Amino acid sequence: MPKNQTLSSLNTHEISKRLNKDGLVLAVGPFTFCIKSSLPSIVNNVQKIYADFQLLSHDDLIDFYVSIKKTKGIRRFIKPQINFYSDDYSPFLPLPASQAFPLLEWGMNWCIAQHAHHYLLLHSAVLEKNGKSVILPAQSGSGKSTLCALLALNGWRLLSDEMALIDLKSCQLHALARPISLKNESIKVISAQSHNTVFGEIVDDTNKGTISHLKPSTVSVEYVAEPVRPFAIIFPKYQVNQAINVQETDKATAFMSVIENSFNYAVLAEAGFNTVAALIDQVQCHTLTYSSTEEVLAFFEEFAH
Amino acid sequence: MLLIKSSNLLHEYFSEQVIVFDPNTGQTHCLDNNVIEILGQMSTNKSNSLAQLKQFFTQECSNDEKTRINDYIQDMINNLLQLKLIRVHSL
Repeated sequence: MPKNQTLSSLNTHEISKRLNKDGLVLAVGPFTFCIKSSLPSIVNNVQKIYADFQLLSHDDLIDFYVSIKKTKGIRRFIKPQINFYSDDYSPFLPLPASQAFPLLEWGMNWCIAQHAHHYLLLHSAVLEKNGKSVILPAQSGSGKSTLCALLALNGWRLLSDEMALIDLKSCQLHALARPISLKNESIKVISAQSHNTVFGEIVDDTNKGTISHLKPSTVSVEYVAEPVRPFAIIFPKYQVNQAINVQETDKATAFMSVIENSFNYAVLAEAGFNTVAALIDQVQCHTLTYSSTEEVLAFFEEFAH
Repeated sequence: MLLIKSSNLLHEYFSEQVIVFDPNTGQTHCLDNNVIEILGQMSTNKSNSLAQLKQFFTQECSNDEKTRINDYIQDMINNLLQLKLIRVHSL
């Protein structure tokens, strides 16, 4: 396979054939996924959203073999359901077939969160502009992904929407540049931002509401192998009718908040503590509450200069 | 009361607080950074008496100051015992 061949070089038929047969092998940040599925919605969404990702072959070292399969038996015909598999293990309950692509995305996140313990993993968006990186750790519902998408559409390089990968020794941030998962109202808000946005299908009635995935920018995917030095941790919170408010937060509080947002701090034990200590030592720490898109973009623009 | 410190504690010191990681329990705690002075006077393999510890911190203090410092240390010791960062040593 030619070096740096991307998924966009394959037509729909070829993508479908690979997904159906031996699996489509993609480089996703530092990981290699082999994806299998016969579902048309997986073919369509993967082709659209992962177009810029590097194609690899079965000769490459594959980290995760994942698949989305229809359940067997009666539910194959009545309100069909699908399962996510990592190898032959299915960690989730089956979901309606319409949620195939979100389930694939959640499953890929699960694979990384469960296995990539050579990184400190934070539930966080990570972006970079002018060499200044921001880690945005936040719980669900805080507006993290919306803010991440806004920044990504305004010149910030996307490293991750969902998970910060922090090197245990150097504290450098590694990129995933995976699709940004947008929910409910934020889909409209982000669609209105630019005519160039590419979304996956809109899926209603998931346990997180209506979901659609925003394609990461080509530049973000092209630079996915380049790590960056951490510059700031900002804990964002969207609050209706709230004027922008940025406060420096004390480092001990930031330390504990980072731990709360980590997927694998407990697994890493001493190595996790040392990495968080080194990370906190070298970054600025702030809390941010906002409601206005213009105000928050202006703040980050100033921050990057 | 004889007290002994848990072994291999790690800490990261900040201006007013300290983060302590206990590898024995896997827990991380955010504490008043004066805790480090108290833990610094304790050993992981030899017990210290609480009375000696209080005496160490109240040297050359007036009675009123001694009372306040003793109460403060007692609160800290109770908290450290609860968090299992120290334990009562039974002979």
